[in-house]
Amino acid sequence: MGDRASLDAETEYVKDLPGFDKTHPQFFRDPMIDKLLEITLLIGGEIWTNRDRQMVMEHLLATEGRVTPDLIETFRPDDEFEKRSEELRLQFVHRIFGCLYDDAGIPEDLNHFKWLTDKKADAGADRN
Amino acid sequence: MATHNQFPDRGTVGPTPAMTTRSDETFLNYIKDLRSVLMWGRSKEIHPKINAAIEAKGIPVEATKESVEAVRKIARDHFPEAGVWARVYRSTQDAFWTRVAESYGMREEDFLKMLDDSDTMGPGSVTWDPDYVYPEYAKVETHRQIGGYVGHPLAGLHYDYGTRVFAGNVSKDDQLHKAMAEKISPPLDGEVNRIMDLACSVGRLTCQLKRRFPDAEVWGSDISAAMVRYAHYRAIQQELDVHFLQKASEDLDELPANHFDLVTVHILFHEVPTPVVDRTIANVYRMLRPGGTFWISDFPTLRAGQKGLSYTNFLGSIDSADNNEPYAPEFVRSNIEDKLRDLGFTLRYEDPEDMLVYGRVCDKPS
Repeated sequence: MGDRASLDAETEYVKDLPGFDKTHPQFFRDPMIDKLLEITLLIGGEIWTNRDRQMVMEHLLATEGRVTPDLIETFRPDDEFEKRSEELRLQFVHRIFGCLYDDAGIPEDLNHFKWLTDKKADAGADRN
Repeated sequence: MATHNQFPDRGTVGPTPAMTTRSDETFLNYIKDLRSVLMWGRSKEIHPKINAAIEAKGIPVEATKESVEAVRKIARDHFPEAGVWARVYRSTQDAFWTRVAESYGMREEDFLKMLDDSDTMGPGSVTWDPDYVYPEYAKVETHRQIGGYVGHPLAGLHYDYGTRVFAGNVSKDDQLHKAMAEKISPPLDGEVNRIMDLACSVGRLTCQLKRRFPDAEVWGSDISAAMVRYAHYRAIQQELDVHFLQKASEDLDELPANHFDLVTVHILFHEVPTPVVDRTIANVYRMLRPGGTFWISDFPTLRAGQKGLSYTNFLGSIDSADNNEPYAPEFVRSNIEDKLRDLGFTLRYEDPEDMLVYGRVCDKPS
């Protein structure tokens, strides 16, 4: 079972599988749209990062009366700050990118993997 | 952990070292929301439409480059929303793995020293081989993680934080792995003295198994030295006595036969080629004591009906080819249940609706 040479021979085919190598797929007719959408997604992140830093600075000035790079880096938001930040971030994402789906609104189901931890207590009880 | 002077110590998120800067953490939170709003929250309306078009056009969805390109072409020509979905998936996947690697990379020396120091600390232990030569199949940069599982010395840290971005809130406090450990079925006779968690990566499930079975000797193995070294560090942070071993799951011959009461494997089989799956399950049968239990958590297969088909259409094509999951298509098209029966296992429980959390529960006859 531990014969590396035979395993290597048996798995030689994997090099031809899609996804074995990194490629540059194109999802729009004009590949420039792929690039521009990626650029926009990343710029949004840089803008949000600056906005967050500004919010932290304003909070520190209001609560501590001073602000330093170290205070920003080690800032631990309380639940209220965290919740407000999450709300603003979702609104920010939807405001900028909602047009991609004809402004369909923020989806209700945002926690895609929640079903994994939300199983009913009795589900699968017969597995024992 | 000591950090370089230019970076303030930002602490940890649970047992996971925080990002080096607040900007990195903020950017990754944004990426997480971007994916929720533009991707996960849209899958239910977008995927069925393009899947119907794929079927209507009679495109054979196969694990070939030609088939995947035909699926992409349908998105390009007829479903720009599917193009947006795929582009957001691909671009954000690259963005978060890159950012995680860059952020931890700023403190790479510190983290390497942290792993060196942890190697000889307890509780628990780690055994790894600095000269290990990885098989070619394992060198894929799965999920587009920088360096993949085996090609970067900080792969464990990358995986730990990166999967927090990928899975969102269910990864917080290891909730998912805690849920799985609580539901894993022990052997029918209830005896659990030794546990082996195969392909344990950063040891989330391994540690939760130790919490559930505190008196058992708990082992985690993984092909990646970077993973087991970090898993050991992570277990130390939780003060858990767990043993980690660098071993490919198909290469466990030297471990004793009839030894373990419970062997678990979570989402390995769709990430390795079929010959590795076959060798692994044969090894597990050998390693389990009579009456022992093998718990498998992974994708459903085609034999599970419609649920199993979910990985063979648009999502399956894009995920396998463009998110570097090259082995998933062959796993979902396999019949692992028949292979398990052929080896001698009895399948106690399987439900295609519950393949990840409840898994497939297989017993070695007493």
